[in-house]
Amino acid sequence: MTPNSPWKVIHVDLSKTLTALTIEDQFKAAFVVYRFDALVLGYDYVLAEEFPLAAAELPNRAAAILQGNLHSWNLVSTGKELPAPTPRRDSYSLRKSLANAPLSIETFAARIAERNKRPIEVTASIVICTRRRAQDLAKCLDSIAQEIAAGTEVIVVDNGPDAETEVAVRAHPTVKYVVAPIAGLSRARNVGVKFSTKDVVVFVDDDVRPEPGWIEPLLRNFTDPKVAVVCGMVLPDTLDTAGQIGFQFDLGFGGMGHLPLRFDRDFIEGGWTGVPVWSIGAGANMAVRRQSVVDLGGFDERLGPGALGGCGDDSEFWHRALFAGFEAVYEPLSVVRHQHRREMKDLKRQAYGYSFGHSVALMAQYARGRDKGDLARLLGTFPLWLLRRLLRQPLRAFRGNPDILLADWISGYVKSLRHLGLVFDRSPRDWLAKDQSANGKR
Amino acid sequence: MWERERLKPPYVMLDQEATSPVTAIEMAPEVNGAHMIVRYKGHPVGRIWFPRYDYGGSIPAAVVEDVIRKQAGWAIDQMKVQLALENRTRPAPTPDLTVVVCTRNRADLLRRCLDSLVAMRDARLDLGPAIDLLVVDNAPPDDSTRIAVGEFPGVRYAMEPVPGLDFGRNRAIASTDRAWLAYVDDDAIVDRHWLDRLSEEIERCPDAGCFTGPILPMMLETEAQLRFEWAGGFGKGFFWMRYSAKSWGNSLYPAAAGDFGTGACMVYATDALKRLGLFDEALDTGAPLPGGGDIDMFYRIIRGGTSLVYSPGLMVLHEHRRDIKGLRKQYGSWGKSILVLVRKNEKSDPEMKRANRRLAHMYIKGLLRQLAGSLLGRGQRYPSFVLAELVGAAVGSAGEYGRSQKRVAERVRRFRQ
Repeated sequence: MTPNSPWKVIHVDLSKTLTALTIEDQFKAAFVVYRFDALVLGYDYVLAEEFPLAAAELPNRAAAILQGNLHSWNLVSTGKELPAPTPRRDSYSLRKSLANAPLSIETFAARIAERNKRPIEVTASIVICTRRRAQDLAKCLDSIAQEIAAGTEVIVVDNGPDAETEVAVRAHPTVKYVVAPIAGLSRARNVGVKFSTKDVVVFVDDDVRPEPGWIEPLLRNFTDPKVAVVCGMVLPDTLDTAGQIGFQFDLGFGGMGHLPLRFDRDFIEGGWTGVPVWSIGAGANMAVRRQSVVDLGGFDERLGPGALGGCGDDSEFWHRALFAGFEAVYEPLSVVRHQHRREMKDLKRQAYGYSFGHSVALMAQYARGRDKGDLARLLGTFPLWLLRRLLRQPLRAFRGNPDILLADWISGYVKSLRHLGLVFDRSPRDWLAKDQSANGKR
Repeated sequence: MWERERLKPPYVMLDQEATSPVTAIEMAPEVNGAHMIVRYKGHPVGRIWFPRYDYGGSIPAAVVEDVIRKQAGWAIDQMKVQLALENRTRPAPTPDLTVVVCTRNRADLLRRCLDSLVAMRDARLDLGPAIDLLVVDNAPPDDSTRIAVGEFPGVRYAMEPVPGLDFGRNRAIASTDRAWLAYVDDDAIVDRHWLDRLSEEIERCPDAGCFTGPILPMMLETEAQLRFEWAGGFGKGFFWMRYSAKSWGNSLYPAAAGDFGTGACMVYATDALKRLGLFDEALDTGAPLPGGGDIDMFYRIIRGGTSLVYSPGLMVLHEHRRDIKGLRKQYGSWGKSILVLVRKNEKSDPEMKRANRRLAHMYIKGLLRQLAGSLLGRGQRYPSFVLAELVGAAVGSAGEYGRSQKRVAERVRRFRQ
């Protein structure tokens, strides 16, 4: 019963004076993002027929959707410090304990302001890994023009490599252009880390448009030396096609909520089905402490898009970092907008990739961390989850709402089993120390 | 069985402002519970039951406070957020409004209703022109209503000779030149903030065709009143909603128009009523088809492309039926109205045929399930109530609308010759 594409994405900043919302004729529906300043507080789904929305009606709609989200920020102690550690598998249940915390919008706004006042004590370089998407890259570079102008170190790692990409980069004379000819996002990330000369590497995907001011909230969290990874919020840039809508809602890409979260030992202990590292964030908006990456041996070059395929290059690193005693932070005040793939076939490929990549990453994680939970998830709960989806399919098909991505999820998993050998590959690796003669030409 | 212990009348009516201190509830020996309306800064946000059966006759303030926080805490917070975002600095101007009470031979109830309306009118005289109050006297057997109206200065009187609530409602449309027309039942009184909230809603959504609000009990003195209210009553919740032409992911929409509000309190844009062709006089005729006109109009408002706003601030307090027999009749009337409307809309609105059919299916299925539960002693409704609703549905489904149209045509001939 969801409306057809295209949908309009509308951002409503509740901290400013509200204005009426309208929709153009071509859109069938709108995805309304309620925000308070940069912070994303909730989503509203509005049919084209319900428009226009009067300014005075937005408080009513927003209040119903935000419910406890505003005052759950009372958990964020003083706003200056990092939030309390997130107990395992509890990252989403935090709000339950908040039902009765006091609230006023002023306190809430003050909390955010305070959090935004924390000092930045690290230097940063922005690394954009790209592969044959010169147009996307050009837009991406435009969106960080402010950073480029301010003299932030920006490195584009061309994983193609191709001439068009180089042209797009050369348009910005201060942006460094580096090639990593061997395909693989992990490889490109490692090259970026090697060439970076700053404390923190902020990764920006080529299909992402960071919002102005997205970088500072990430960096503020590195004041604590234990923090190795900070992830931020990812929103859809547009929802123009059925593929993009599926990307957002069937794959559940992006947003990890409105509360800052902190992940440490508590998060990895006490479960039996593998640490849910995917709930830390998304690689599309991620910053890492350069020294920690070096210490941990870099991103696993066997994993991720371009290598074995799919995903997992980011989450496997988070896993390794957490097990090595580092901490990860999810910082909702940092927001980027992701340009979802438009075509349905890309969506299906992505579902396949998620399933495959997740499964392969579990193997690599088990080989290195020896956490039986990863094995339990790989051979137990994950295939069972797929089986449950499969068993539900007849009923869903009967109801005219079949699970279009089911085949891709299952085949991704099945194909990943060919790489089961990874589980036994315990040789220590340092991807950064490896001879990188092929990669990293200037 | 049927919650007999819990549902012993009478209950006392409480009204708790969340920003004021909570006091202990001390019940007199004959009182068996309390019904509390919770407000935040005057805005209704919820209601809470305190049966003696569960809490005892003397409930300390701390317990009351705890229950309020648990059951209404999040609704209070939601209202806090809403008001903070709204950040209203001045009261909304009084709209160009006629409030009409359609009545028949119930002068005492009418006086009580008019008391509340006149007080409401006079409290806002500094915020714009006074609202217009009108009483439509429907086929009066005597002049008791006219006399009662005469006691209230500034209240207009109109007479509709043909019996039938919707004849009365249409008479009101003909008797006003105001932009907005509110209908309030004679057995109800409006909440003290009703006009303030309506003014705000009309300022908020000036394009809406209709506004509705919650109907809460005025008193719970008899078993019938208590049972009715506890079983759901007219309750549509305490959350603001704007219903438009379509609704996300609701395949029954807008066939289940009974969810949009209740006829005891509804406000229309007068020109929307005229455009849609007035209330259907074959509904709300009194026995044997005493309901349906309100829901029919909600449905037509939505299908006509204007939106309908449900605002918890437009609260009225209603005197529910006092006797079990009357309550059973009321349930029977609900069943009849819902199926009559399904049949009517199937014919008049082919595009919605499937939705209307599905509504009928789900409604009957739900009733059968309730009947099974009720026979086992579950729920608050006696099997006879559910059965009455089912029988009503069967009659309503079997050509009742056509019969009613004939009866009404006959009536018009008789009274308007």
